[in-house]
Amino acid sequence: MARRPLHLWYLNLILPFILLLGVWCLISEGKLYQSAYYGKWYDASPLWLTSDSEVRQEFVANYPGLYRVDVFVKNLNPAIPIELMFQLRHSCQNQKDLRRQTMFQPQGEIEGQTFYAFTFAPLEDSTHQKYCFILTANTESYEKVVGVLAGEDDLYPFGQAFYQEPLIEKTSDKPDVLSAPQPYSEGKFRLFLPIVQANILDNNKNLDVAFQLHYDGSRLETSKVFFDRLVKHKPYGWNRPEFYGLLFIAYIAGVTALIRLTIKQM
Amino acid sequence: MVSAGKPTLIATPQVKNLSLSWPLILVVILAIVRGVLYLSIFPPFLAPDEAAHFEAIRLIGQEKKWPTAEVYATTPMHLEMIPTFEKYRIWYLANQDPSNQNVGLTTGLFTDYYAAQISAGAVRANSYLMLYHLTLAPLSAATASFDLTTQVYLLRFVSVLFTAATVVIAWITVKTIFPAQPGLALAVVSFITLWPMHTHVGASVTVDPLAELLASAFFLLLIKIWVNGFSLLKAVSVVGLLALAILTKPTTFFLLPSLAAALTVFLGRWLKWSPRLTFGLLGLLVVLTLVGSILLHQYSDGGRRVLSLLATPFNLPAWEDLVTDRTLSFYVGVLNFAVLSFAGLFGWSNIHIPWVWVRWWAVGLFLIGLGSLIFCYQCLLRPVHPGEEDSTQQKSILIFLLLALIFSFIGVATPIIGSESSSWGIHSRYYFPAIIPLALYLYLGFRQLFPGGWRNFALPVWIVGWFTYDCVVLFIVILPYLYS
Repeated sequence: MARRPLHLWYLNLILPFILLLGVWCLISEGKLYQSAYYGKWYDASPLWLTSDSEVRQEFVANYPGLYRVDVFVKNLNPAIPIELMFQLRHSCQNQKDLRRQTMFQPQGEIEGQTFYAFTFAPLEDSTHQKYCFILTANTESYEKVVGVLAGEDDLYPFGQAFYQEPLIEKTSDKPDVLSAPQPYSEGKFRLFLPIVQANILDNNKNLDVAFQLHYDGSRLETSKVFFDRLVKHKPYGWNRPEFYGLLFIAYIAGVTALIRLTIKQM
Repeated sequence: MVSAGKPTLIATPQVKNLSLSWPLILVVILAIVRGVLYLSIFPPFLAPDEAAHFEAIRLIGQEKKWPTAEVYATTPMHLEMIPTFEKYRIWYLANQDPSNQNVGLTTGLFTDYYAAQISAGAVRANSYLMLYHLTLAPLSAATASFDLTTQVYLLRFVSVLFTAATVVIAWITVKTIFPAQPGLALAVVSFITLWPMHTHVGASVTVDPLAELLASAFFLLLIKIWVNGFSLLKAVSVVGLLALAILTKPTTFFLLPSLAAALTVFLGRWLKWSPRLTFGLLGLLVVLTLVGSILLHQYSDGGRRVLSLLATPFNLPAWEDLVTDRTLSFYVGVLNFAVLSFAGLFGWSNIHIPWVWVRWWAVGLFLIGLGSLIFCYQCLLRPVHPGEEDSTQQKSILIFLLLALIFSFIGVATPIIGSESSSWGIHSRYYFPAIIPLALYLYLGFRQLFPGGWRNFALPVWIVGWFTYDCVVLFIVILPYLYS
């Protein structure tokens, strides 16, 4: 019995469809869009979280379903457990917490930097929303153990950080933000009175901390936001999502034809 | 020349002989589509050294000035440069501290805004080879009225066309060597088209696509001479292409020892030298290239001052200049970076694949390298049997291409040895001019990993593998980074 020739029509029809579906699945996967705001310059100036100090950072969420914020820290002595409290608010002036979390240990490392991951119930309508997170350490000590990595000069242009530190700790006019971190040394405890600077926020104009945002929103909304960002500021022609869609389709069609060609050769 | 049905060096089952046009047209279209896709996705100036090359082209084309240090010090940059950097968040995406740019904001000078911060700095005519910039200057002049992003995209498109031309040249080259094995040509051009790093650099305003095109054309003509016979026109063209390539980028200097290797192999066959003599001479050539490359790097500012070097007196170097005192771990670190740069290191070397992937890539490249070695042992060192005379020529060309690849790697490794610094890195784009031998040997090594009866599957797996990897890199690494 003669062997039937291999028909590849199904490959032409089904493969591009599967590939396009795969591409859309990737584009609409919110967990891929981690807005990372950290870099080599951040580790220069840790904002130490001691008693009576706190770090606030304003930020804008770019995608729907904000559900996690990673904050990068310098941990001088991992043996000392420091409980960090995370509060998420609509603004740094707002008193109402949207989400609240407490963490005892850093969750991991990215590029050698330790980070605390604060996970909470997703904020579905987080796209383009402004938020503020507040970090405090539940400790009575003034010892510098955990410091949030931060940098000056407006490294994150869509919000700013504020650092509230104990007044008594300052020894010169130069703010502690710029001082080099001191290694932890046992037996060098100093007693500080819990006096806190007043109106500290005005002194931290261009400060930003190192953080990373994670999203897990609806696929439709995520892909819509992605295409909005893809075409933003682009010149005529490049400013239409259809242009990129056509390119993807042409790419997939070309690869399908190439695969078909190689299978034919076999 | 080998034709279908005759014995061939590459021992694969005979396949249907495809016509030249369709697969080639398909791959060229694919290369252009991918190039346009990548050039559209990456914001302007985010490709390696792109702002520096763009500004040099603009100075020549639009300002009618030769981009010397003095001209940079007195000519303001394009008025849209700073707004473009800001609206596309370039400093942020490049992971660079924007605080040092304040001087540039007030003076409006490119050297204060960009070059003060970036190690590559500005493309200054007194220390750079300017052929690429001169070639693109007329286009820059013609598009001066467009907004800056469009200007960058149009210049990028020229690089895409250079890359597409390289694909055509690679196809013809491999078909010339292996006319009975169209699958090899398809494998080579598929790699050139689907390798993400190649598409990224090949869709940016940078010197590499032109250097690669000229070097590939050099290989094609040299192989044409070898296969089809000598003609004065071809010889003059080979020398001309060599000169143009060297005037484009120092990464093409490896073509000089490659030409010497080609002559040695050719003379060895023609004059019937003993294999020991031929391989001895080739070994000597490799050693001379290694030492010469270090010296050239040290005395000519990474090869860029090679022309002015001829006018300066040469002093013999001290022994310390030839020997590096770095530890082995330093070079292991460099190799780590080399694997990363091969697999995925985009933008200003800041958008990279996860390090876990790099380890897998290192394993994969090691295995492919092993496969290449087995191939070389089985096919290049094996004595020629009666009736395989046609394979002798293929073997000679493959030996020449292997040496060209080795010379190219020497060219990218010796700056690190010569400067004892990893700041030069082993960027994959530095060996793009050797893309034809690289693609060929990568595929031959990859195919060698398949057991004899399964070799038919090597090509589909190769193409599907590169396509899948490209999608993974594009949708999991690049797009989320750029648009998160």
